[in-house]
Amino acid sequence: MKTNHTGRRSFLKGASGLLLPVIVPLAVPITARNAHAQLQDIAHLAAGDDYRALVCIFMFGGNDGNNLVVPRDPADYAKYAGPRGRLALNRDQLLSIKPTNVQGREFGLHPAMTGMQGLFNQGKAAVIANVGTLAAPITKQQYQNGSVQRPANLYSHSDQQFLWNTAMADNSVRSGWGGRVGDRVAALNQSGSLTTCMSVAGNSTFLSGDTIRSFPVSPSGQFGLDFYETSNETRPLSEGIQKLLGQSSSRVNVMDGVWLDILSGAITNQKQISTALNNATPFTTVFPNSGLGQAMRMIARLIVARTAFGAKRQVFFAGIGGFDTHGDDQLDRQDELLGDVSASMTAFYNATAELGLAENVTSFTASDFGRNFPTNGKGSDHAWGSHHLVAGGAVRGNAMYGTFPSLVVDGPDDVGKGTWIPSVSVDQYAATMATWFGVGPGDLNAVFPNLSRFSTGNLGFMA
Amino acid sequence: MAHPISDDWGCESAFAAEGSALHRAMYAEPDAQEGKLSTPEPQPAEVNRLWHARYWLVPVVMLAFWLLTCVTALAQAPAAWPGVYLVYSPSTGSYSYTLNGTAPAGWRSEGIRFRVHADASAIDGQAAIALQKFLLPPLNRVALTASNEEAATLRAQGWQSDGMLGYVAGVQTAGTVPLHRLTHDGLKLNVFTTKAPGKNFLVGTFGWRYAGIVGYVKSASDNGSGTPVTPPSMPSAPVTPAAAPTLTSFSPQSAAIGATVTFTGTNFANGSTVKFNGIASSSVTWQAATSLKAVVPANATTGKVVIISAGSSITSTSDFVVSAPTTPVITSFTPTSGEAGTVVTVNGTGLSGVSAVRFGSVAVVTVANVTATSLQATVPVGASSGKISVTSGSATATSPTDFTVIVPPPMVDAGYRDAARLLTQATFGPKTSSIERVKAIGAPAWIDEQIALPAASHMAYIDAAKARRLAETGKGYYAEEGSYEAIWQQWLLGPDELRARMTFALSEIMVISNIAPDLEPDAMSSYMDMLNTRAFGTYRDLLGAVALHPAMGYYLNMLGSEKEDAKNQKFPNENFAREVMQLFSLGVYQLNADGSRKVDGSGVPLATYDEGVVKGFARAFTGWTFFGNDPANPKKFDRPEESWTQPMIAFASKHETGSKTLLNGIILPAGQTPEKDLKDALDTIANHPNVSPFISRQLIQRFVTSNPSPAYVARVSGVFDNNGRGVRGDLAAVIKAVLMDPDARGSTTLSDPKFGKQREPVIRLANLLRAFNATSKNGRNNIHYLDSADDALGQSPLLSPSVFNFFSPAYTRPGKLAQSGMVAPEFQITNEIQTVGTANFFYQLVKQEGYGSGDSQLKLDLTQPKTLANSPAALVDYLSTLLTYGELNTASRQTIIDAVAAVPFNNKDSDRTWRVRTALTLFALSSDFVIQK
Repeated sequence: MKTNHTGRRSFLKGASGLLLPVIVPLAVPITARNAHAQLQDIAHLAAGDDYRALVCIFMFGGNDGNNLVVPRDPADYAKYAGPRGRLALNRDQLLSIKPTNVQGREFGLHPAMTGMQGLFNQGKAAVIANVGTLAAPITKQQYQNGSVQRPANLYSHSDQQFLWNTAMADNSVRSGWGGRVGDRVAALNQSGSLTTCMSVAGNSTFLSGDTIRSFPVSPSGQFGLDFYETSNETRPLSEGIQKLLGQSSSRVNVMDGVWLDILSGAITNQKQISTALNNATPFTTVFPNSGLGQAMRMIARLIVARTAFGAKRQVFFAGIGGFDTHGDDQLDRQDELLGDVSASMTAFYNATAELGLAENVTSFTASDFGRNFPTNGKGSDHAWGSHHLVAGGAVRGNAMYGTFPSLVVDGPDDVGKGTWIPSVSVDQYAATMATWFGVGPGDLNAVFPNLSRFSTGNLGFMA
Repeated sequence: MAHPISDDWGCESAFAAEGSALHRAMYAEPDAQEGKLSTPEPQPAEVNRLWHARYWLVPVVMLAFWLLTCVTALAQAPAAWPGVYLVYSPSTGSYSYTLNGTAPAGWRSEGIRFRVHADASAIDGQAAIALQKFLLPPLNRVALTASNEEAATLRAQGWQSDGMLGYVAGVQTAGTVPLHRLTHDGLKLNVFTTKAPGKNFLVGTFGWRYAGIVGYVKSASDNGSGTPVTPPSMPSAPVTPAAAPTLTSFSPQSAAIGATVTFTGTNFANGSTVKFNGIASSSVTWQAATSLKAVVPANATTGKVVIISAGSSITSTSDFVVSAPTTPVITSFTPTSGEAGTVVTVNGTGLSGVSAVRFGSVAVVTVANVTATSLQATVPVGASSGKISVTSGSATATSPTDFTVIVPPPMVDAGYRDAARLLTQATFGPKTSSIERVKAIGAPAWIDEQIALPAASHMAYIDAAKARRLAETGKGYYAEEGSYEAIWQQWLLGPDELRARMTFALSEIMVISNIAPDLEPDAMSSYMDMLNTRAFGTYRDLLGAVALHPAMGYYLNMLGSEKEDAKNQKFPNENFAREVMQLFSLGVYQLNADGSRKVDGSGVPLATYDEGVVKGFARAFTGWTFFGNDPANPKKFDRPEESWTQPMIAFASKHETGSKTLLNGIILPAGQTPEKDLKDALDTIANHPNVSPFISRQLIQRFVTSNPSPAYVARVSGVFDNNGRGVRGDLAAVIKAVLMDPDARGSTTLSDPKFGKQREPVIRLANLLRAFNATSKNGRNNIHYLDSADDALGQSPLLSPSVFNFFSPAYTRPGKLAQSGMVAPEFQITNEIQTVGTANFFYQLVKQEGYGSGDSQLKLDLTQPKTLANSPAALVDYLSTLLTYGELNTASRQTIIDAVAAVPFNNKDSDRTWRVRTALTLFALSSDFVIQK
């Protein structure tokens, strides 16, 4: 029933009438350049057609990374297959990858991820092994005796999603690291905060900076009010809307003003974006007809339209839900979801290559947490560190970064029923990409205040 | 009654008599010389026709009495046949008949017109009939009648008796003549004459009609003596013919059309006419006998000015020069807003010639103190906000900015407003009928009444749908759409209005969702029924029913979770154990009674539980599967028969038998039954002190305000702890405490900048459908999927993205909300996509006047708003009561009124539709409706 959701919406659309994307022309300009951006330390940003984009693909619910990347050498595979029990993937079906930097070990990607296998083998994708939220480096003993701070509320969906987005596992900030990066690059974009941080998955903590806020765009490309007409009957309505929206600053109630501001900004900015999208040159790459696939397609379209906004640096956010696989449908669910992630990331890479921007755009995965290595009898429960994928022409691909866990239950990596202590922190993972994006060393510690707690701020997977 | 003769009123002499009224009138009225009097200018219908008639009546009356004069020979008569005099008021155009030649002040006698008998004795042997006189205020129109029946009719029409003049004969006798009456219905004028020529001339002309013979009288020249009498004179005093005017000067001597010219001279009578080169001014203001003001009329040209005053005229010696019109310009006006009746000073240039001022499309009646650079205009009744315009000649100037017409709100009863506010907080929306009910019995009694109402049955709805499907197609099955319809059915039509909202609120705390994994329709509807029946019971009872409902069991994997079997890699599932604590009861931090977090000495929040506790609860919750499976057959645990509507049952063989470490150091001993472990585990949760503030705060957020004061949370939390009768978690008492709290009911919170909440999108839809009593042909609905943010609401019951609900109770939005230290849960699903999608959705709802299709299509009843469409303020105030509990912001109200007023209105159905559509769409988008206070 879930899979025919598109059909549901088509049905709804039929029931509620044809909605045409006609825009109310309001004379409110796009937000001006972000005056707060700190330009001085963006060291190597060139002029001209220099452009970079970062795309976060968030797998909501906590992807079981134990089945994303699996050791394929026979001895290692046996250590995997035993404890995994009914969740163990068949070795023959694993898609072989041989990272160049792991002493010849062979791994397998999930069988549904043929696209990512291709990118990996072409050197356009890398695996970051066992990434997770960390307030500071921590050992099993330190975890157990409490001598080093743990991330707040481990294993809670909402809290761990939040910490993945903030990249500050001691819970001391409320802004997302994508947004904080956006704060520092918005001044490079003519349209400022409108196009610096854009979400195709609704409101996003990841893209909420100290000053910047993400602008959400519908993957469907549905824009604007559909009832603006210049007839005698509707003109009073359109003018009335403009008057109401203009009253936000005079409202005593804070929420009143916020509501009017959101609607006002939506009408104005959607018009600009839809105009730019309509004028952008189409590409031929085909994307999966899934929610994520269409979201990634929209990001590619926005990248094409970047010149209309004079955008030089953009951070995007996309999401896909359904990874909270406690039950006995985990294998089926992951097959569907990881297949979607792989196909969508691959199509996105191919589109950037078609646009000549492969080296300018990097996409990466994120998720609440990993899941317990041994099954709970059906699926798997909430755990901690997990594996992730990075793709793009600037990625030092065909390689694995971080340290793959030993897969020994109750071993040194495990703080309970196959709960891996992350080998690298979200801070390090993020800072590596932020550095490539153009955040200089001086700003890096401002964006990632905890970064200095870790051995390195750059994992080396970006060229 | 004899009068000295001082003038010749013979017919011929009238033309010769220099200065006679007729001579003057005819000399000044070239059209009248040929019997073709000017027809009146068309005037706005609202101008009092009677009053306006004074401007053109004068010549008509003069002509009439000239005729009468000509045909009435004048004679003196003995007292037995006293003469009846005609008296005339130049200022009102009225004339009357009197036995006394001495006219009252402002009237003048025009001589005897006929004679009546002085007493009631027989006239020539025939019966004498009283000739009664009636006057009609305010102009003292006169009527004479000899018929008692007609006298009664006149009285009924407002005429007042003025006594009698004498007696007339009912039949013609020797020496008497008929007294004819001529009537002008429009002007309510009567004239009486004894001579046929005058009668025949006037009848059929200018609206005069012949009204028959009043009686038989003697002519003016026949006093009954048989000897012709000399016509009576005009009385010498005090009725003196008006002196002829003189004109000394006028200023300015040159001006544009529309300008005002002041004339100085003598003997100007009130009611004077001023003609500019033959074109009469339509606006003459009499100021004194020595001063007149007149506006230069349209089409006036340069030439002499003639002033016609009380029948005399004076012509200027010099020309008045009509100059080219000055182009008016409005630079500013003050004040910039006000109600009808406000005097607005308009500043600019070239204003001296201004002849008309408008607010929007409505003309100003009162314009004063006109100079070249300013004028004062009174905001006319019925004006709506818009530009001010002035017209000078053919040029029009418009103000650069809008004048805002403030329409004062009606006095709406405070009890009515609070009833509507309570229903907005506590139900899926007020209806006129429910507002009346709350007002009648009061909020506490209404809450009690609602709590006592039985719960709707969602299963009954989907069972009926299944039966219909079976009858129609031969296939009976549950469809998920039916589960959504059942929800909307309760929301829109159920009498259990408070329970419906409470159940929805609980479903947003103890969440199941059909997004993933898929749930069976009967599982969902049965879950809703379970919440409904326990919505006003105890929290502990609810928690137990939630834990054992198979929909929740399946959704959060307690169903089928079994004891640890390391060899077979089976471990208790932690999903329900974690979320029941994090989301359904406690939260991750320890709370004070007012909802604030407890912290350690360093200010670090204290966790409520750790991983060991989650694992302990997971172990306590093992061994449960679908109802109807035999616990004696362990294989059934792995492959159970499914029953989605009965509470789960336990397989002791699958239950973890070891001890379990729970909250706050509570340890369940080893070897307990699954039922006992479950009971003890849920008791442990329900008795934790966090539950009271955690649940209380969320209920306040769902019903009243996103940011309740700590004191408000503490008050409700206290009721949760103890309902006053020693019961913990009495949800009926809790919801009553939420709704009856001073913060919820008091009016001060209405203006608190941080008070209130966003109405959830689905609640907004329900509000609009309920306000207009939406119903369908078959009594059902087909509201299914509203979760698309692109073209629906971004929210749909039973379709939350995850167990974390559509939004978090702790969500805040970067920017103003975060800076104000506020949370705003509903804003988590509010963004630039969803606001526009929702706006489009509501516009379609209003445009279609309903939702859905076929016989299940819900149609709004917009009869009442459409009835009010001709009165924008009344329409908006009506909608405000239903949609914003009568507390619409002043600026919003004015904006919507102005928008409605700007929709053209010619009383067509489509006009009413467009006005209501405009108003409702603006309401749906307004912050007043979206943000509930």
